[in-house]
Amino acid sequence: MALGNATANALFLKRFGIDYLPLVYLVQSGAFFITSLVYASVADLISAERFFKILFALIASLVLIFWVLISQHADPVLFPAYFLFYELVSEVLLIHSALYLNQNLNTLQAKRLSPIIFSGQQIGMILGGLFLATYAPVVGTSNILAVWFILLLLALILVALRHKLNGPSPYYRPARKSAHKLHHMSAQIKQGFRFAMSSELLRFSTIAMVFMVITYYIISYSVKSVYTKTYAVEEDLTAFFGILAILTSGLALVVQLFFTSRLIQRYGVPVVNLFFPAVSLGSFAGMIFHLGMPTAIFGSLNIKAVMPAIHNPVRTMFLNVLPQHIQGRARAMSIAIVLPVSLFICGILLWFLQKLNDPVYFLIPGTVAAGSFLYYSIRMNRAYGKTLLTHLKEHLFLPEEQSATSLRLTGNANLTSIMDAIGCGKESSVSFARILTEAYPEVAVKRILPVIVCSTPKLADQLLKTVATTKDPAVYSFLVENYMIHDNHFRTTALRELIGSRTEKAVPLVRQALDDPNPRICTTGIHGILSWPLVKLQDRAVNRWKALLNGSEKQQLAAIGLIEDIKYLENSEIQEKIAEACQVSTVRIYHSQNSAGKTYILGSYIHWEGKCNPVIHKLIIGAMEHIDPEVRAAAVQCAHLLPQDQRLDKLEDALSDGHARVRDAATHILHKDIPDTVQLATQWIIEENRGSPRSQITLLSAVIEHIPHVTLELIINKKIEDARQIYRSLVAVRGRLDDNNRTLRLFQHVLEERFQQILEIILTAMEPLCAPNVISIIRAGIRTYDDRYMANACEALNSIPNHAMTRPLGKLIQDAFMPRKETYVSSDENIETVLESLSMRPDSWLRECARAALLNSKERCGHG
Amino acid sequence: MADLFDRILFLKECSIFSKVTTDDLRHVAQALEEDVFFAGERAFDINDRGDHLYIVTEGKIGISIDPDPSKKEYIAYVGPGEAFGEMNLVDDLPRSATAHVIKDTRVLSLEKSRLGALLLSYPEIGIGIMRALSLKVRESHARTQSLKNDDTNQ
Repeated sequence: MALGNATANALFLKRFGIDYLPLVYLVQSGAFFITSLVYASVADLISAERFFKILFALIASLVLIFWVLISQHADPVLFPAYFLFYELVSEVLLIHSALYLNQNLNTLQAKRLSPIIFSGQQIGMILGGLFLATYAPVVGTSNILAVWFILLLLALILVALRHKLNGPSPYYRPARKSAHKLHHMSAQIKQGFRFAMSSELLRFSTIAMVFMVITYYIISYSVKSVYTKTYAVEEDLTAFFGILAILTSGLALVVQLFFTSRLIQRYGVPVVNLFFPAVSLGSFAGMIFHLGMPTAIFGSLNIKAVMPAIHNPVRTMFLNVLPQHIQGRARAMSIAIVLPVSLFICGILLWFLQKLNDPVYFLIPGTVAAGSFLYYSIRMNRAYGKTLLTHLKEHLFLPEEQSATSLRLTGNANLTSIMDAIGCGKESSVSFARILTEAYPEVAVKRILPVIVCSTPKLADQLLKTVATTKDPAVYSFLVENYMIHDNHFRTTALRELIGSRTEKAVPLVRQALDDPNPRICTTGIHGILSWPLVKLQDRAVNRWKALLNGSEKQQLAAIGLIEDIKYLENSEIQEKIAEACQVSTVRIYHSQNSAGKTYILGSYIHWEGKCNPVIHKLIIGAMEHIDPEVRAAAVQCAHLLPQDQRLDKLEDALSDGHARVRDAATHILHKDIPDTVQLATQWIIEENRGSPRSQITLLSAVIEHIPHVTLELIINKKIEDARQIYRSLVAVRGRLDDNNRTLRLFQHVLEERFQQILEIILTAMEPLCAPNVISIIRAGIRTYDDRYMANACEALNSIPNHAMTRPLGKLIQDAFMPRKETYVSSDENIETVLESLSMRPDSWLRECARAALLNSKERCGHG
Repeated sequence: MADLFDRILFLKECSIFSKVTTDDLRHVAQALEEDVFFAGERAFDINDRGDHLYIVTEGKIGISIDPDPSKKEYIAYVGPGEAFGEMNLVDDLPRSATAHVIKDTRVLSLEKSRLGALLLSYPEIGIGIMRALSLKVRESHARTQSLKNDDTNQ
């Protein structure tokens, strides 16, 4: 693009004349409008890489034609045509690059790789600039087109090669061919206007963009006029454009990599949003003072480095606060309408003003445009704050620090809005309270505490938890004075916060809590005394605890919840007695509890490190089979209390649980309890082939990041072998199937599932070794059994360089999913042998089914 | 009397559960209850409130969609290993047909509320059911398309 930019500008400015630039702007505005409509109509009908290939081939051909015609001293009208061609091509390539990335990267990849890819673009510009600065005076400007042509062909080959190796864009979904594409696009633009009328942010953003485009093109015109006057020779001008590309792209690269996100983090989106308009205003001021090379270069740096590196990312963040459906329409409106219309206005303005033969006549309107741009950017900032609040719930993904900084900088009007929102007593009040605590911690306490007094008890409790994060002494004084204002739940939270703060004023409340009839408040008091510690009150607290353990069900439940606090007791004899009493109470009340009560009891034991009696072991093991996944997950987290010989078996079962929460709990415990989980996983998967495939997948996924690639390859090879064995058994079973043998029919289903699940382990292990889209393509093939997807899967598999690993898998997939004939039933392989070998496997469900099928088969032979 | 393995196979071969793994079907199988309908009875009438799925283990059921539930104009028959009333497990609409008991029939029935509890506990059962339903919708689209093509050719 650096070569295209320099040649288009140099040839146009030197051979046609800058006087016609405003006229070209007018034509360009219409061309932008048409191009954007045409692009929107066709872009999603074919895949992005195919469109890129067509685009590159088309651009390369046209560049070649331009080169030939320009070299033969053709008509001067070629130069504005070439200039216009470059302007359109640069715009379309930029837009299409974004679409290409969208179709080839998932969100996570895009987030991580986009900065690197766009940095690559800047590096390309720098290299192009270096080439121009060195060779333009030697080869001549027009011949640079030949080099550009070669580079475009190289780009075409690179795209083609990449997709030959890695398959088509994985996220491309063809749009329906419809005659109403243009109608759809115009509807989107119309809706964009309608949103602009209703959204203050979009309205000011649109107006700011109009002035931004005018500012941009007037600066561009001004600096080009200076460069044209300064460099008399066309080649010198081209070389200068090369140097300028190095400067602007180098600066943009450094700013983008090292400063943009830090500036946004530190000063917030609104302040950074004002940077580009302010520097533009400065550029005009400089150019009015003296329109020469230094101010022109400053102007170029502003529009070519500050704008892409700072302003564009900030503008995207502004639009991000709008709901998703509005963002797309706003962008469509900007590209198809706002940009062409603004350019048209700019062209007319420059066309008339340049006739006055004094730069000041277009620099002053430029200054006015930059001033207006700054003014509407400030209005945009205020609207941003309001919109951020309005869509707060939808934008909790924004880093809190960033939204807090942004809110602080958008004025006191927001503070009032947040306060109004907190006072409204809805659930969202807590979200607003959280933002207030983040953005204005100095006023949060003062404003939220009065709201707590007049809120519902539930809301008051949540607001209290939020405001307590400030750790402001005023909060604790407030709680001591207003301890009784709400229900027991609020009082418990208040007491817990006071205990956490170790406020001396809270000691009477803690003492008083011991005698409270509510068991939760009472146990909170006991916890306070033991953890503080308030030594003088300890005996009383222990006695109260014992009393609760012998009290009603509710009292016992609350008292069991304190089991973790046994560690605060110094006397080991008392420790043992209380632990025993807690377990006795647990056994007494556990079975009469509902799921929430059971989860609460098991949850109390999660962090307790003491010894349990066998009845509790039985209770935990029973809870691992409970219908409620919360109970199962809590039980799994108590696995550390089970005897060593049972613990791993139970965790293995939990790894194949039907609920993700239980599986997560099991991996968490394994990570916590076993020092070398990677070693354990490889031992389970490779050496012992332990548990069901589902448990192996869970375990593998949990530790895969830490497994060396060599070990992953071992896992893959071992599992391919395993899958092959299952497939052989499956073919043997299919060969003996008849309608009356129901056990064997069920066993066939089990084998089919196991085969798929083992393939899934292989693919999971392959994920870190090859491109993710390759695995997705293979997965799509083996899950759908669709011929087309299967063919893609085989292609994708062939594209992986490690053939020693992929060849056996490819063969297995072809045998299983695209069979010519089933070749594995050898004459000596009888069904009993197959079933016997499978009934020895460690996978309990497969083993059980194999044994049942074997028994059934023997019975049938007996009858026969 | 169907044992656990038999019940799992019945479920696995019932279209709505065909995409649920047998590991998960063990839990569903435990929630099944045995029931018997006698010849001449109706298992349910059109527009009844439906809250059970039935899998026939023995016998024969005739399905009629006539608004009059007493009319025996069958559009389909359900035999051993086949299920009826499965759509009511996922929607709350009234029964769209009447199930006439042609021969004495043994069924395994699954109550909607029990399935609901199982879905919360083992979400992969729900994913399997969704896959099977999606497959049904695709098949139905393909049938409609093929009928359309037939009409055009005629």
